[in-house]
Amino acid sequence: MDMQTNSFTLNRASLWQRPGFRYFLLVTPALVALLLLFAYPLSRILIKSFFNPGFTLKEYVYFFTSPLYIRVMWITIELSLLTTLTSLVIGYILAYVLRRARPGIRNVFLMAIMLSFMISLLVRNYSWIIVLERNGVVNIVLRYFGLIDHPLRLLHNKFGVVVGMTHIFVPYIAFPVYSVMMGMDLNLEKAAQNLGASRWQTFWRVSFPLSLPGIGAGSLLVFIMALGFFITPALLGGRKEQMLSNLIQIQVVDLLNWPFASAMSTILLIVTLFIFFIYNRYLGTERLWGGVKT
Amino acid sequence: MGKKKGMTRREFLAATGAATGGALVAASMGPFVHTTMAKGQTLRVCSYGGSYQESQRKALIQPFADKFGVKIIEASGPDIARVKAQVDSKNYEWDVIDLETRHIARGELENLLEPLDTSVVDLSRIDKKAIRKCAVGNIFWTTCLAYNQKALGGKKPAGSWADFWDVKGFPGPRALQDQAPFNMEFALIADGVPMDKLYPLDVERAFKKLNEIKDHITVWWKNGAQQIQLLTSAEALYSSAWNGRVNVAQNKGVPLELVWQGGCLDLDWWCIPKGNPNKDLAMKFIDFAISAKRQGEQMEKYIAYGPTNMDAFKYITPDRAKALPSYPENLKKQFQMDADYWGPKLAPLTEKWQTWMIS
Repeated sequence: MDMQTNSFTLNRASLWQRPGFRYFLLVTPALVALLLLFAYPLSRILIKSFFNPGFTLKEYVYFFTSPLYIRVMWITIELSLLTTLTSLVIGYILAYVLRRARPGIRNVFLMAIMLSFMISLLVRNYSWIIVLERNGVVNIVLRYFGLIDHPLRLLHNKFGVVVGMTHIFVPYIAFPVYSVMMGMDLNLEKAAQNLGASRWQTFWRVSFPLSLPGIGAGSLLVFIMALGFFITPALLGGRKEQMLSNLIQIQVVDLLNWPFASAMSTILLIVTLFIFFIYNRYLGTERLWGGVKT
Repeated sequence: MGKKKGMTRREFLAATGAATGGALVAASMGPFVHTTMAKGQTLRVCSYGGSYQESQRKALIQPFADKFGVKIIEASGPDIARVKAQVDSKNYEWDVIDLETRHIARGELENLLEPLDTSVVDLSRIDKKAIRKCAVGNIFWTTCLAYNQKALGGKKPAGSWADFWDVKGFPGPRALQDQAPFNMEFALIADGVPMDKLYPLDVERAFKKLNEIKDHITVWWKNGAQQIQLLTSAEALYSSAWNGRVNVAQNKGVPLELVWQGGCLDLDWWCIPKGNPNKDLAMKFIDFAISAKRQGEQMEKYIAYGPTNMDAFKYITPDRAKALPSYPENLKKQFQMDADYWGPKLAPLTEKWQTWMIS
């Protein structure tokens, strides 16, 4: 290809030879796909939320003056924070153990985590229903051992939602943290202990700070995903676990109020971008893309 | 909605449809004038999937394809939002759609549906309740109180919405659907409003009554699969449920019972997206699908919904008829959802409902 174009005109040949241009060509298909499938629909949503048909802020004013939407916004943020936190704790422990496990065991665990990505979200949610319901696995076991008299309410409340969402999000934290930990020299821990640090001190002053980039990347990813979640809260939650996405769906599908649905989506997007901005400001997004220093 | 079975069946149907269609073209049989007109055409039908769409496939869709040599492509999971997208973009995915009443009411309000061509669609024997400008009812179905007989353990079951509200007299976990329609009506009935005086709804009174039971509802279900799962596992002893789904579960041996008293009679409708170029064939399909014989076969053999064609009961055995929502004895105990009330009220009352839910 290069040779052929070279023999045509000098101008074109030099363009081809410029690495920038060739990289640009490589990126073009992805760029076109992004513009067509992401930027274009997104701009349509923005336009729909502001023009009806003339410019108006009506939808936004309505969102911020109605008690319902602000409340649901807070519920959404609260649930997202909570699940990010629980996913972080479990995901971190998982990554920490995996880092120190023998390669054979480690691979089995990594495969198991990978496999969970392949199971449909609905199947996983319904499985939790079977585990947590009134006559579910947990309650039967607890009652068998005489630990409880009445079944615990584990489902259709905040607890159920957090469990279901955490189950889905743990890998998204475990993998980034694990990859950062893999780039970490375990000799540093030995050195710290050699210099008199206790195990606890070693963890908090050496291992933990070194794994921060993974924690940041994973939590950001999970928090942003959680903000837009709606199937799990709908199935495992109770009447108070309403997420903004649930309300958006009803506005789109049942009420055909697309301008308002667009405004709600835009607000959710702005919140997400704001969080991304904060993260970028203090931690730097390049770490998200696996910028691991070894 | 948890009732999609999707791709493989669709592909299978497309294939069999094409095969039978082709065979019929070759045979060129049947005395019908329309037959030759329709031959080789394609019709795209969208419905709600699951055992329901299966009943339509066996009793309506396949016979239509066979008789007229038409290739039918099925889809599942319709809603009015997707109809609007198709009409706005003039890019039609569906020619005939099965839609619930609230979608039809919205669709008519927003001018998204094609008016029925009564010269093609024969409405003479169709129940008046099932006729609208842009749609004709294809089934009656009921949302009513249902319970798990076995989990009650011999105790007397609740027999009305007033009983459902009586959490001391009829103890046990309860479930309702997470939406304003039906529940507001049920609350008013429990509060003593006669069924023929429900509309226009007394909104304040309904919510006041709903407040009484709010904290006793352990689950607010979101989709059709969930209600049956809740009742089957006895996660909820009592729940509002759709009669067709309950019947399917009963046939599988699940000990569920339903209470016709205070049930909300509603319809599914056939309709055509506005401006669809294939509307002539679509009208013909609708006429075929609402004929007495087709509906009779569908309700007798495949699913326990009520026919909208009054002559269809001729093809249904008396025993079977008793299990159907539009059986006269059952009909007397129910009220019909008022689509024209809910059309414009759905948005404000949904918002009120959502606010009530989180408070």
